[in-house]
Amino acid sequence: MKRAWLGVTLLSASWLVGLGFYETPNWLAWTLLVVPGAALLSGAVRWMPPRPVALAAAAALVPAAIVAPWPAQAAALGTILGLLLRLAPVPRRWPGQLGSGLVVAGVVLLVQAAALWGYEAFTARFPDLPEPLAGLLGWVGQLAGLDLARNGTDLAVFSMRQVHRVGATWGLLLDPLSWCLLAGGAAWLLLKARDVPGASPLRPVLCFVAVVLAWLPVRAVLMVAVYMYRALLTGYDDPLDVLPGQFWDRWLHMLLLAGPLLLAWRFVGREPQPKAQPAAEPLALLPEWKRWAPAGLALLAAAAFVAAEGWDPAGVPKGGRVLVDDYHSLQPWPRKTFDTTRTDKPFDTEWYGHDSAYNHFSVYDYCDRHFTMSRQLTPLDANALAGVDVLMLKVPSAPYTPAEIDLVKRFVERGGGLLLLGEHTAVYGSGAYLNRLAEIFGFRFRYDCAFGIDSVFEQDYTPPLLPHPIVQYMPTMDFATSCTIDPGANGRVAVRDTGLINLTADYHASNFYPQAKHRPEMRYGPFVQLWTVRYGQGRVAAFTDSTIFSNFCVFEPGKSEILLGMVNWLNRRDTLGEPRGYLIVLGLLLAAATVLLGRAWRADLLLLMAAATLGWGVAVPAVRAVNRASVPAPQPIRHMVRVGIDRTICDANLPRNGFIAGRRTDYGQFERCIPRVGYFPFRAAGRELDKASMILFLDPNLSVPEGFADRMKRYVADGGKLLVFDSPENAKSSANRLLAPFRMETRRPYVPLGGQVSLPGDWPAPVVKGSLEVKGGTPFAKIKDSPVGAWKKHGRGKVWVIGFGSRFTDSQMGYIGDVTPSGELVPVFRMAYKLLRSVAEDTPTTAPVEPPRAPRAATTRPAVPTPRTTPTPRAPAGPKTPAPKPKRPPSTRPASTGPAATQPARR
Amino acid sequence: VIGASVEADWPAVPLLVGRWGWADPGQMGGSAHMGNHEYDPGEKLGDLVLAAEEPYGNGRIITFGDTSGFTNGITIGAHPFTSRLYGYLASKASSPQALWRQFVGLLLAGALVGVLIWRREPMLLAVAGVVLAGVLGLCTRATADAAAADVLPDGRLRAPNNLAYVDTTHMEAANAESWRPDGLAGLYLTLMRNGYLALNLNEFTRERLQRAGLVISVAPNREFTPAERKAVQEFVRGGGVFLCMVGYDDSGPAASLLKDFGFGLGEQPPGPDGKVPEPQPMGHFKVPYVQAGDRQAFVRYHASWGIYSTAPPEETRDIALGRANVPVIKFRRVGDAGGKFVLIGDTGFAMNKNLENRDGQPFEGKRENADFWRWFLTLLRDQPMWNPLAGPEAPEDPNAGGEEAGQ
Repeated sequence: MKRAWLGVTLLSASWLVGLGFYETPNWLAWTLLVVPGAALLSGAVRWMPPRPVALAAAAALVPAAIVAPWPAQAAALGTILGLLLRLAPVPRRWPGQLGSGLVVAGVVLLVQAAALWGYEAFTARFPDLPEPLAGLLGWVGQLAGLDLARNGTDLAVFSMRQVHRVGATWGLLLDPLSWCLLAGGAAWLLLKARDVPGASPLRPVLCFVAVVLAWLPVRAVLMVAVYMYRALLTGYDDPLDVLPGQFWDRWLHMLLLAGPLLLAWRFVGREPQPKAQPAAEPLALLPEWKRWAPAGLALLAAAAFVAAEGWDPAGVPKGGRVLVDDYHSLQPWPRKTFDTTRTDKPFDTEWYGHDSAYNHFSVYDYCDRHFTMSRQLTPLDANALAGVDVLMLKVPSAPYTPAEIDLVKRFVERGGGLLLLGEHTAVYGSGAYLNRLAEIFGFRFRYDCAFGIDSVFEQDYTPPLLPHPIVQYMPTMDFATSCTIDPGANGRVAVRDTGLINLTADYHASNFYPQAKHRPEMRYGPFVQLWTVRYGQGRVAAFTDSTIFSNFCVFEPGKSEILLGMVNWLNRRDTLGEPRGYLIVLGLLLAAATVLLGRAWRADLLLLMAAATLGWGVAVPAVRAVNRASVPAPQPIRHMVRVGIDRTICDANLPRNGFIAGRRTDYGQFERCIPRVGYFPFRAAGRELDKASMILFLDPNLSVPEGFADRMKRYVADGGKLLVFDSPENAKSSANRLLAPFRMETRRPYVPLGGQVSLPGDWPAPVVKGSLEVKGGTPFAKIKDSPVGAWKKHGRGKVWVIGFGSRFTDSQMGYIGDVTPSGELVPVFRMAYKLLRSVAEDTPTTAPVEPPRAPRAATTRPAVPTPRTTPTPRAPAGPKTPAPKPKRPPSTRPASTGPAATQPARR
Repeated sequence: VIGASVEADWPAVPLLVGRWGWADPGQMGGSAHMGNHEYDPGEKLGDLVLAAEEPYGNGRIITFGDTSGFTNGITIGAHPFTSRLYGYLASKASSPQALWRQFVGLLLAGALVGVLIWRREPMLLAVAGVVLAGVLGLCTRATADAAAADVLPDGRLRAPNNLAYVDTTHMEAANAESWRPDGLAGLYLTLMRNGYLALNLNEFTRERLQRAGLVISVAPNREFTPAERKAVQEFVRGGGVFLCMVGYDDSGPAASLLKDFGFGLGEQPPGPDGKVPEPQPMGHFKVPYVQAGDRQAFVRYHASWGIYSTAPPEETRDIALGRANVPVIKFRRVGDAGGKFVLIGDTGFAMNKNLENRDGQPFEGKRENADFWRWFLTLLRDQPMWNPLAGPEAPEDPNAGGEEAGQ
């Protein structure tokens, strides 16, 4: 028993290194825990199901082994392998022993996977302990001699240097590893009880649960005591912010598993004892269906739970009329210099500086190609919401009046879609203003910042296996420091991520942004960042990071997609309502029936578990497919030029959250030129590029996959355009592999080429330090008679090649994203714009090609005369009749000061 | 803090013994002639005599190796000890360290052990147990008597009462290391400069409060008990001033006490549903609190919040405002003895980071909040108001206070 308990403990410990629950997964450590864990469980259970049951169980686990994410996948695979080893007719003992170890380890890991998923879902919604448990923790701490007081959901602990406020959270009292040990230990005891006919598993399971529960407060207080001890030993001038990391330190969590392990050895270490055999119906006399029926119920129960979690009835699409409230976000706030979410001032080739990139013009324009957009520039009233399907309220810096709040509430009740866009720390008062609405729908924005544990300012979110329809078409996305949501009881999570810590607002700072230092009151682990609620006949979505929709980064992977996803989901009217509650009740009833009938008809435990896993493994892809089929990705309803930036053969650096660092290898500034001319960039690889109007290759340097060049050839022949940048600095250029089918190439000249580029007509001519020669095609750019830029028609499309691409790298375009071009940068920027337009619009290179930007016809909703709305000035998309260039609006740009002026990712 | 140890040869006896440290021999030329701050072989470790006493004739001499405990800055926290020390020196009571007492005590204990070993009878054991219990009771009583004989600072000996306490019993947000940015050393010094004896309140008792003129609480983390709240009410009704500084985000534990005096954090009082609308943070800025013509005196907030009062308007007075003219500093007169309850909606208002730098450097070239406190304390004590617009050396002029911005 002791060996087996150690094995279960090692398996429990593996989850923190295997999942990245707090920190990045460490596969070596995971292997070093799981392999000995499984080995220690070898032979720990003598009992195994009969051959047909074992075969059925192994087969039932196959879908999960295919579908499940690692390391749950490993658990399913291990169980299957173990069952097969047990059944294998090998005249040796060890395969059977190994098989039983793998089966038990697999079962324990599968149970723990489910338990940890539940833990994450629960603690993301309710991170803080309820009152009685927090009180208990405080009481135990005082008993242990800590000078401690309860302050709301924190424990305040005294030291001379400062009062440390430690979050009274589930993570502190019932950490994920102890929870895994509870679940895995109980599963192991249930399996072990089968070894002794007639032995009841109830007593050892209860005993085990009791000792672990008794240990938990001791563990929590020990954790606080260790923290305080370290704080007291910290030198007077040494920082304290290195200390709180222990609360999410996985190695310390693992070490503290020694407590329940020793207790289990002491109190649950005996072999199960047989008791009087109950007078049961002999198994052989049971009808066959009774032996399998509980497994069927378990399968259905699991499927019901999956459907409850993942199935979001699509409803029917509405009219796609979206009203964006600019009025409340444009309002002044102390030390607010400009509205970071305004949508009305074009991000164009004339307006530069911090605030030109830090607004929502581009994403509004992007949404306008998919929906019918309009702006609200006056307080909300009934007229404003007439004929609106989706209302977007974003980062308000003025309160909504009671009448507005009532209006919005009734709008949602009657079937409207409401999108609330928040921002970190309730900046500009936005959180409190939004919460006056959000509380009606049962949730709140927290006034905090969510940071990554591994890397403070980086948070990559990848949609889960069974995503909410909002994020189902979204690739991995970077957050730019969001707030988090206290979701309350009702609703459905759309974005939940773990590996996060949060810091509450620093109200001394002008933007309430706290110094990113570890503090003991931080909450850690999973958080909700996008929450959805059904209310009346309408829907509400609340998102926590408006910054990612700023011009400077909105076209990075996932960002525009998530906004489209939100609007698309809100632009639907429910026909079924929210079935989740019914499905959960159904799942519970089925689970109860499984337990009752399983006991009565002595169903095989392993088979039940395998059936439940089968239910999960089948239901997940099914629900996912239903969601995708019922909510297709929104398609453009208006013409748009999409510029695909290749990531198949190019790995030139592109910004993360718009941060342009001025490196000579980066093309962030050039990427930002694309929305300035009214086009929409996206980064993609392989077949994803097919949806591009033109594809941009920035210093191709990776090997060209088989067939890629041919596919590009077909793409061009079908009317696509390629723009290929190569440069002397691209030492491992693979551009010629791409260009070979077009009979073009770039070549390193014998004499280095540099100087002013000769270009046709009125093209702005920048000075370049070095260039490659471009062979083939029609030259349009030369240096000293050597062609350095050329184009070639192929089929219905065209290929453009530039040999001096490095002139458009960040180090040569002003270093920072907020640069205003002047001097020799002016022709560089102007050439970038002209080049993009010439390629996209197939403009003849010998004629003047600088098309003035013109406002598109005003977007107005026919039902409502809209003096409150303003049209969307936009760049010409496609060959259009040139319209008069709009005058640049009078500058309302307030002075931006401090580091934010050069760091767009944060306010 | 850091001082010399004391050699105490007979008949001197140790009075204070330091256990967790070592004696680091001084070095000429070092910083303040101190040692190398490291434990070296041969240095005495633990049980260091820090203070000793010696009877001399009818009197006694007490020697300390460190003066720090008697300085302004340390007296704030060391006053329970120094009060007793002075009481001890001033009284003619015999010392508990008298040699004959200790000798007799040892003799009796030895005799008891001897008797119990010699005559191992149950009755004798029982009697010994009863006797020892009686002795224990006497000792406990003696300890209680000693506590009752504590020398409590008493500000009532001056008019107006000049004893100011800063509460440290509710785990306040301010740092106990007083010169940290979140410490209160600047506040203590400000109080001292304005004539107060400023001390830490280490026991929140009615007896201590009764003797004080001003009690300050900075964002407590521990709630006030009903008995403590009652003591505060008695204190204020008796003419004392209770001043609480707390922001909305820290206000939970102080809420019940604030409610007793009709105060709360928020821009408006609770609505019919009993809920206070969530206030907006006002943050860090400064506002004028006194103006005369075109001249204004400003007070700077660290991270401010609006406050409200449900008390009758004639009892309250706004001292300084925030955005949209919502008060941030306000007091209420309570009772007829001149008592006041003051609420400042800013946890960091009196912390060093918003009042006084350790090196004395002003904030943005000014010492506005020190001036504010000087003005405000005269107001709270119903003294002739000091005029912050007349310069730091301005004479007290009852008519020079100007027009308060908060009126």
